[in-house]
Amino acid sequence: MKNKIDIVIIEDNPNDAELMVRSMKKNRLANSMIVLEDGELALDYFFSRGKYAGKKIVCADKVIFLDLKLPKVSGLEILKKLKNNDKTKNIPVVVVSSSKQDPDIKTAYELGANSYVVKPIEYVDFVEMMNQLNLYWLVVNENSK
Amino acid sequence: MKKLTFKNIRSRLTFWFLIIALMPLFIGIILTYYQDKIIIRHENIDKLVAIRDLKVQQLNYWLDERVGDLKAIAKDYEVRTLGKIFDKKIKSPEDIKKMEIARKLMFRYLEDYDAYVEAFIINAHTGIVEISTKPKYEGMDKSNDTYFTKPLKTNEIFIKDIYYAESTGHIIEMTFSIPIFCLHDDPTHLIGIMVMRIDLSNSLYPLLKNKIGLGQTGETLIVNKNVMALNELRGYKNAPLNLQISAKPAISASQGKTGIVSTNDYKNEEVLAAYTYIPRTEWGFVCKQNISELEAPIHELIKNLTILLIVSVTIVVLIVLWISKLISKPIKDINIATQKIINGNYSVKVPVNSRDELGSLAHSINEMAVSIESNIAAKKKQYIKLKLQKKETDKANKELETFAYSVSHDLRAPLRAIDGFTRILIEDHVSKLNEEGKRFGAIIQDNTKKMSTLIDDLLTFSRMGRASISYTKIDMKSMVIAMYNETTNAEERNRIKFTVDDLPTIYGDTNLMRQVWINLISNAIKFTSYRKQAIISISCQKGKNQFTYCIKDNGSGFNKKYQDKLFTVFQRLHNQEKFKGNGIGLALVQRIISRHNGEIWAESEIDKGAVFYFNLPKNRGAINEKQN
Repeated sequence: MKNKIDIVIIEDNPNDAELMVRSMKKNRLANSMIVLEDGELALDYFFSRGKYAGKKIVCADKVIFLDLKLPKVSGLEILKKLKNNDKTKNIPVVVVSSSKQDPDIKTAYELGANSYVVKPIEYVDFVEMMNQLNLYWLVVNENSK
Repeated sequence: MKKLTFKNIRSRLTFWFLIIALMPLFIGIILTYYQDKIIIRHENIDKLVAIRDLKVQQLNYWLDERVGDLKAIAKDYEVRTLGKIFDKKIKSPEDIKKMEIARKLMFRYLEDYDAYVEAFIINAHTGIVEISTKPKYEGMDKSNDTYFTKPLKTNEIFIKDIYYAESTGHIIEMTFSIPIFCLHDDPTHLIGIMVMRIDLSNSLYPLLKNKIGLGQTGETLIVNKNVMALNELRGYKNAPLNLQISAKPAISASQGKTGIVSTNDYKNEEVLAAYTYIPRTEWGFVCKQNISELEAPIHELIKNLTILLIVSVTIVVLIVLWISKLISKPIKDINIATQKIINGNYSVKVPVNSRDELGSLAHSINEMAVSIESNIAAKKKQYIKLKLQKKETDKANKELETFAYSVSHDLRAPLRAIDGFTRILIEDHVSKLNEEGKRFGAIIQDNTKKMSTLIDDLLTFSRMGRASISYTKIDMKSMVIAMYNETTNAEERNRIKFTVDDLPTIYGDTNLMRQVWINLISNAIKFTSYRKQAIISISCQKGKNQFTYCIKDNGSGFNKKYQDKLFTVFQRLHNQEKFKGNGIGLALVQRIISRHNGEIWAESEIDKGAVFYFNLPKNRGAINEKQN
């Protein structure tokens, strides 16, 4: 049986993605995690299309980490589609942006983002933030299911 | 009194012009009326008096003539010698001849004046008619008649008043009688009475009936001393001796008075009556005319004046309307034109019809309209140009913002990677690194941190130029204290002697003002960090239109020479080793203050501390005004 996916990371920057994965591994969460590199792939994953066509996805996702700046399909578009779909609308989405000056912060919340965080530049801070997010969304927070 | 208000200048002019023109006209006409009325009344009085006097004169002439006739006969030689013949019982043929001569004489008078009805001589002794022009009456006894007895007694002419002749009953007669004296023996010896009967209907009455100058209603009347009418009247048939008159003028006349009076006559009509008394016959004489006829000229006058008034008023009104239109039209034109100008129609032209002030005003308005039009056209052009420029600026700003965001986003990712992987390198591969390698790793991380701050500060600074300011009331003192506590830790607070005066509240953007205080306070802390006892004091000076806030420290200060460069981006007056910083802080503060329409400046000397001042407009109105 395939491992249950708890965390979906949608991030196009491979370095950022690796740093995130590394911090997850430190918390032993790497097995229940998937990284999707672009917006289209993310939509394919959630709606069982393209590469993921025919694969039944067990929607036990506990949290989605979503970068807004993505190639092909933008983060906001993905957010909108997720929140408009009955199957996915209850999955918590944490928007992970590069900048706190992002003009889309308001739009993100309006579309139903559950949280909005800025990736700190310093690694120590970054790891600390990831730890806190994982702790909160995977342990503290109670899912709708 | 209610004040007169006019809706337009024309009615005002018309009103006053009419008053000015019509007042004298009305006064003139009224005066003319009263003057003419008085003249007419005087003329009426004069006329009636003149007619009265003329009539009385004619009456007297007539009486004189009759008396003259009588006297002529009575003084005749033949007649005066008749005395002896009268006394004879039997007349000789010679006597009869003499008597015949006397009769013929009397006949001659009768022929001369046909109003004489009869002339006869009465024997003074017997009272018997001796000679008559009507022989059938000879021998009749007249001894009891007044015309015989009166002159016999007085030896004077006697005029018997008007009476109806006995013989006919309807002929009105008068009788004159005169005594005849003897020529020879005794001139005082009375021989007879000579009597003349006169028919008045063709003598006196025609005289009275002549109504020349008395119009349709005028007439003359004579009354005896009992105020009985003696002549025929217009309004009463058979008036002589039948009509007792009770009108005032007739009574006055019969009482011997003379005058003129306005009263009611015997017909009870309003009349003007001139009256007098004729002593010889004891008659009252009245000449009268109806007031209504006499005053007809007054009615005529009123009619004429009314026509004159209507014509004059019409002409005056027309002239006044014309003049007031002439005067008010240019004003009206100017008014209409200015209204059009107000409504934005600058192509109007006021007709310039005169060379006076109005003409010059019209000319000025035309020039004004042209000037406004060209001004507005220029302003419009300018506005369009500015709008275009603003559009371009907005576009450029938008692009800049997008650019800044992209830059910050895209610069951050590699920085994060540099920092992250350097960290991983140090953590995971520590065994393969010597001390020098570890030091280099630390340098990389330190610079990453600086770069990160730089990016954040630059972004903040670039956004400051565009972000809109939301004004709220700010309690500066509590903000300063809060910011101080935020930027310092307990250790620093022990080292610093920090004082804040009472600071006035101000209108400004809370977040930006916080930024100002954070930067200024942390600056002061930074440059006093080497002092054992740092002193930072914040105060304020209240000006007329602005507040000047002031933050003073006892830090390192700066060289006056570089004062101008203090607020320039990336300009640092100290080296990195001594005081950290990227040179954006003060530039940001200056930008925020200038966005609030304030100014910032600083005073300092090296090692003697620095004072930073900034002022802000006192009230929001001034801010809004400046913004607009």
